[in-house]
Amino acid sequence: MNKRLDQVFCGYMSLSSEHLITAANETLLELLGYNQNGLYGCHFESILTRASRIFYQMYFIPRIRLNTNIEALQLAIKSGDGTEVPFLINARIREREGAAVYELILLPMHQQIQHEEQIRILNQEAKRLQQELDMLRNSAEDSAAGQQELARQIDLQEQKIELMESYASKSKPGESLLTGSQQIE
Amino acid sequence: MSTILSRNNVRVTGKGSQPIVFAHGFGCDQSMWRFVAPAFEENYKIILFDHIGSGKSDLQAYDADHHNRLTGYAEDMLQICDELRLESPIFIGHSVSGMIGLLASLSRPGYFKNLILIAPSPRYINDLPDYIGGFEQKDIEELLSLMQQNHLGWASFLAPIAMGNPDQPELTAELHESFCLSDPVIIQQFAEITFMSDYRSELRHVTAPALILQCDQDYIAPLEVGAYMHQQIPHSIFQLMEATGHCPHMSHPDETISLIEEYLTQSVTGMEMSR
Repeated sequence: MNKRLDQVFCGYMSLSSEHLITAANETLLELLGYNQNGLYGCHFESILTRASRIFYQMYFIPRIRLNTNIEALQLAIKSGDGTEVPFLINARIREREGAAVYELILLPMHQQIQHEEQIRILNQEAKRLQQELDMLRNSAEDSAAGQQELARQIDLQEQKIELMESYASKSKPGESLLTGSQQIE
Repeated sequence: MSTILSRNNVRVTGKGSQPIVFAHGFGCDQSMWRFVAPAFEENYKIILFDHIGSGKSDLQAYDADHHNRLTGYAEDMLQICDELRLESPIFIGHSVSGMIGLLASLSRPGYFKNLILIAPSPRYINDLPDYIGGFEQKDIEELLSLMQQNHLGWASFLAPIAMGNPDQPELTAELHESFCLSDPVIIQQFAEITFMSDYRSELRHVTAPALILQCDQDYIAPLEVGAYMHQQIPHSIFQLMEATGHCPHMSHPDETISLIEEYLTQSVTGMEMSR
């Protein structure tokens, strides 16, 4: 493999027509903590997590077979130390010496997953607070005596939700990736 | 074209009179059959369609209640059969569609001539100690969330794919059509009802003769599942394939074609002998 491809800042992988790993660049080996001996000859499927394996069977195989390429597929790969590394993958089929080979570009996406997870948690929390708020509103209607105290609590809760929503809208997925690539340019 | 036929983007080809209905599995559309279906055009009438939410189906026909059960999809398929006035069709279904065809045959006993089920599963989640489905609840939850993330990401990618790639005209030329597109909301619900389903108790009521095509090293529908189905379905034949993975009709079309042909020839001879 030429040196530039070996050290480019994204993972590169090549698979045989049988989906066996025939090449992986240094960047990818480093990200996954494997060496060439450990990885070459393995079935690509065998390094995926269980969920990603199903997804690969159901989406990757039919789509790449019919469309000859696939863009922005998210799959998680098991690294050498057992952790899961999520990747954004583009792939295409090429013909080499009469046989079909697969070429994959893999971008690690820790950052994006973290943002998405954060947004999910915040949305859940906002939903929970909204329910609490509704309950408080209902009971506030019932009891005139506690009204003032409840109104104060409602205000507080509403402020909390606003804060969370503003945080969620600030940490949009993909934002950090974009900034990253701009810096490199 | 009638509403039902355009609703499911139904395509009818073939020179024969005996109908074969091909039902595509999860994650793709009727184009999945393009390596297999043409082999049957000479002697059969071929019916291809897209499930609602997949391929070029009519998304307006989606009904959150109706399509919240696999039986809803089975009813859609029976409507197609009725619209085309099919008599004793042979059914060939991949993955989840194997179960959809099986459910259709249960609601109309005696209608289907044969059921050919490729990599089917009546339940994906283990129910130990009596049943190995291949997955834990946690795996399926991870899969559903992975699907959701992918669909979120794809929403912004689908347009450029559909338009082709202006920087690389040689790619654009190949990409006149993008296959296996699906509606993210509908397909997510389809995935949930598929992977959370449990139709084990239905299997023993199947009366149609069935062929189960089991792939080697299929993580989605493992050997134990195929063997279980064979044991439960009264008139079933179990065939282990040399093909690996979950989509033999795409990865190993020749073997898939010859096993189906062999089965259909045998079942015709069998019927004539029993007369």
